[in-house]
Amino acid sequence: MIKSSDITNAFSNKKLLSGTVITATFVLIAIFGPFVVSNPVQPALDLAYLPPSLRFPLGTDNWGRSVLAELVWGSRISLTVGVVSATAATLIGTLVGLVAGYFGGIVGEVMMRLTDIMLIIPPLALMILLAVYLGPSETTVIFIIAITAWPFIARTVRSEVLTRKNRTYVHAAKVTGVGTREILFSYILPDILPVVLANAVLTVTAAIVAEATLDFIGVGVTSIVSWGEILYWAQQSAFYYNAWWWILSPGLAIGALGTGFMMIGLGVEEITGHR
Amino acid sequence: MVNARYLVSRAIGSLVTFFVVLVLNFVLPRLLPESPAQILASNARLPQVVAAQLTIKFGLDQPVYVQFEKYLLGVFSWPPNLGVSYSFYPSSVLSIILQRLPWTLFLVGSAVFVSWILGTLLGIAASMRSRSLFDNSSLVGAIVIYTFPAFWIGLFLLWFFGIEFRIFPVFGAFSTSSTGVLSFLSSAGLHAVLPILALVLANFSGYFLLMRNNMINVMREDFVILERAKGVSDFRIVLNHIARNAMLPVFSLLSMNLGLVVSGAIGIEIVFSYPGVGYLIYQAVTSHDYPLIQGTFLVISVAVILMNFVADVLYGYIDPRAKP
Repeated sequence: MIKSSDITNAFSNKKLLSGTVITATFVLIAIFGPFVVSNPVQPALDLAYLPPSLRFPLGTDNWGRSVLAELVWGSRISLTVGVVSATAATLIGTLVGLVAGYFGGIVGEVMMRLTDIMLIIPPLALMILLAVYLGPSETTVIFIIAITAWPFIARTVRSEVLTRKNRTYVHAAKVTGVGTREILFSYILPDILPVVLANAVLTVTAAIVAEATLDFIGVGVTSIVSWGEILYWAQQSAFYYNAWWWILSPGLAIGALGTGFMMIGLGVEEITGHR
Repeated sequence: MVNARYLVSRAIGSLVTFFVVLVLNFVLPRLLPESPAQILASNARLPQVVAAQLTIKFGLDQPVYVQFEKYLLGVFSWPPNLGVSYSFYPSSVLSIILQRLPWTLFLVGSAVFVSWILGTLLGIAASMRSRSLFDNSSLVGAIVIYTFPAFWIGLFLLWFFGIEFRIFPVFGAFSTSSTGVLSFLSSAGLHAVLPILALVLANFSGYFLLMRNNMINVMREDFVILERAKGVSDFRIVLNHIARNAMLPVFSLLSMNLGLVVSGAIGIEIVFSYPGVGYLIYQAVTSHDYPLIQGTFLVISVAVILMNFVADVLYGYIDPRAKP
């Protein structure tokens, strides 16, 4: 349960605070940045491979496009795909975890076995296979990440439900005739919400990395500028021109945004006393 | 002694997972708007006559259930028949993968071992000086490094140690000019340094964070206080009692994370053009070699399922509480 004391604690938690500041900065860049820097679609070959300067703070790529502008525009993809796929994974994982944990028996057993199976199959290999056969698009990438990420959440939610389903408040609710659905969603779910939230935010970090990796391999969305796509092109020629800025900055952006979300997740865990 | 029921349930779990992978591998290609037969025929590198022959040979003109039966019979025959690669025609998918598999096993095996040892030792060290500068800085460092994509860590190492300072080779698994066993081995070792280092950097933090947390939790337990009261030295308590108990969850993380390590290896093999199955799946994707993509996915999954089973069995020996 989220208590009011948790909210006061939230402001004094260093991890949560720094995580929120980092993430909010990227959200603002994604929303307003594209109004400030123009979309770097136009190639200008005479400006190719320029190191960082006042005009191009993060240098230029092989087409002479500003790497900073690409990062700003690409942040939209990374954030959208990261947040949407993590939300989808959290919804599926929470539902499976709730049902598997509460009901047990054959239904729970089958669901957990399915979860275990999904946990063993190497996620990136499965994502590549799905991307190849479903065709590259933003929707596909979101679907693919959600499909491979939900088992981690289902597992955590299930173990949380298991520790709660025999507590007095659940028994009391049952005795007074509260329906199963209401027990699950109005009694148990609010109680484990902090765990769900922390895991959802941690999943965003994993999703951002997964999106970048798929684009980097070339099975993601390569038509729109994204951080992984910048690295996909950078890998092809940056090393020949020693264009380190072209490789360095997208990676640092992914790491910084990922750290932001991760700090939020760890902060929530700390405040609510889990872990 | 390991519980027989535990072993059987783990074995059944692994078999079911294997079957799911088999079905996925069969169903996914058939979701494409084009049939496998059409794709086969549209591949320019394959002579038309051969494509027609292969279509009949693999029964791609027959109903789905017949195809599924043939597919299963192929996988379960000896040696398994995973089809013929388009891009390495006429090599069989299996023979190509078997050439590459040892490199990936070598890379992943060494990386798992090193990151496990490194993460565990660092975790013990940090927990003994909890809240110190060393503890806090390694904590922040581990969190930050955890959020970078494995492939990017590889790219960075490649640029820094391979191009800027030219200390290590950055392409392939060994130098083709190496003659004799010794020069081959040293060349292979040198080529593996950066990929393994990248994988270790991408993976050790999970072990570190878990080990550190477990150590701190176990330290507070009654039996540790009892040992202290009995006058057992701090060093012995830490090694024989706390670390031993804190190690168990770390070991189960080891088995759970194998899939993630292999996934990380795919990105890093691509960066270093390392001739393992990860780089192979990339080559297969870029050349639209569907049988090779499927075969590689199957073999990678089977390798992870097997490693996972072995880790589970070992875990049963280490933790007598392991139950089905």
